[in-house]
Amino acid sequence: MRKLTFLTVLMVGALLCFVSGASAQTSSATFPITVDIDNASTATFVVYQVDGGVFTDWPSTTLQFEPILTNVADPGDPPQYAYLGDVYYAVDVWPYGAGALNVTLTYTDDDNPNGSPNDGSGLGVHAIGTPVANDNNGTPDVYTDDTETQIGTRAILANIAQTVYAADILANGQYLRFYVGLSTGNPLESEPAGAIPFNPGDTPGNYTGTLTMTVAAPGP
Amino acid sequence: MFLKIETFAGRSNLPAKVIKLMHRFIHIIPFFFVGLLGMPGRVSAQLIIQKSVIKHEMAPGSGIVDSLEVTNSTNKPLAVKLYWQDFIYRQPFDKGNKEFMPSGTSDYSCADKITFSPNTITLPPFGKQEVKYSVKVPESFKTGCDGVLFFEMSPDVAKSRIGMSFVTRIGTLFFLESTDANKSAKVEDLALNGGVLQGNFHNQGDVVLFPKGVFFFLSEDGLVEDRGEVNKLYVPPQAKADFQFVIPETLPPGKHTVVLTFDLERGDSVVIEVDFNKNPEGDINLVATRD
Repeated sequence: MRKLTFLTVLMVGALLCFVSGASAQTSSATFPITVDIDNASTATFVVYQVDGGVFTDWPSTTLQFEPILTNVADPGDPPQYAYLGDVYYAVDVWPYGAGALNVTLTYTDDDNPNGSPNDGSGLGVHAIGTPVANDNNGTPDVYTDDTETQIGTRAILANIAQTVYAADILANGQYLRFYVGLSTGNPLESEPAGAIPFNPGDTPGNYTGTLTMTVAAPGP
Repeated sequence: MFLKIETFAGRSNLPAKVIKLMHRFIHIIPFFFVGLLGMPGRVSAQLIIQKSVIKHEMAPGSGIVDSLEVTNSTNKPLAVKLYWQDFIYRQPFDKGNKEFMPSGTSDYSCADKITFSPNTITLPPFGKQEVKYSVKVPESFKTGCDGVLFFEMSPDVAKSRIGMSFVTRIGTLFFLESTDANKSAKVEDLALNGGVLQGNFHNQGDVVLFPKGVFFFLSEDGLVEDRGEVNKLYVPPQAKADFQFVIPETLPPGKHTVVLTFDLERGDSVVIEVDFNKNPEGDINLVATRD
């Protein structure tokens, strides 16, 4: 009797093992995976001072120029002088966020010895801004040998107000680079309308302004 | 990183002295990375805002207290100024183009409904801080409003004789919408131009709308032939936004219907059906539209 009971228990156990084994082979479980990404935003700004084509990291947030009085007349013509910038600047912008962010450029004069701020005679008409998309395609980790395409509007800073749509740029693995320099008055440079180089007719003094880069999401 | 090294050391046959020496160098590596991050000019601003957009649907007379976190991802202290501005969407309404304005100057400003604290922050290296905000809307709040909380990285004080301060700021957009708000819109001026269907999305309500359109093409016998999406739009109250999409060349000649649906959220939507005919030469003519 005890033997029979033992055999019965053994058979039931074996049956259970078989059923559970078969079940394990044929059933499946679903594990939902959820990734919740904050709609965070950030932007990295890297400023370079460019002197003679050489890009140097610029640790300051003041973009300064030391213009040099230069004879810009053609040889043989009467001398004609302008204050030409010794350097220009490149500001690289990497906006990041869940969904592409927009970058808005604005500029205002602060000090204008020629008149009042933003009256069309200050630094805003003597300086030029150029937004370009950099293809980030050159030597790895070298940000200075890539191909650039002008995006947006190249303009004197007084007219620079515009928005660059990061979605258009970042989708192609590019990033925004914004060049800022002083007008040279050189016709070969194809400078934008209204650009005037500093010249001896300008009142001596401090010409300053504020260039603002705003990074914000398009919307929800 | 340390875990990997411990595992390596555990399996290694190297003398204990060598492993000890390696451990000593391993502890130097984080400082080396910190040093790299601190290279002058390499990264002039690195502020991470936890939320780029905050949207609240609110009953008239209600209030909310919440917060968001800002992080300094650099190894230097970062001074940040916080302030509110208004904005309005500008054409083109398909990219979120905005004009930023002084606080309290737009028709749909939230400036008098939101307060935040603090107004200035000095974040320590790799530090974080919570910014608290509270929203209180009056009983009369039956529309929507918006604005932006800016986090501005303070520029250097020094200025040269000729030069400019370079100011960078990152915004968190705020949208408040009353539960009683009127969300209504209409699709207008539909036209077929070549193989492109064009139209206007007219926001006839009093809140900014962010419609995302989806469409599908039906054959004469009701079978779905193709489908697609219209770019997201950002349409202020009473404004019209252009949209368009291409009718696929693969559609066979005959009668077709395109059903276009703009989702306005909260269960609201705008649906329009457009019947058109394609002849054997490939010319397409609009036959009828139905709301």
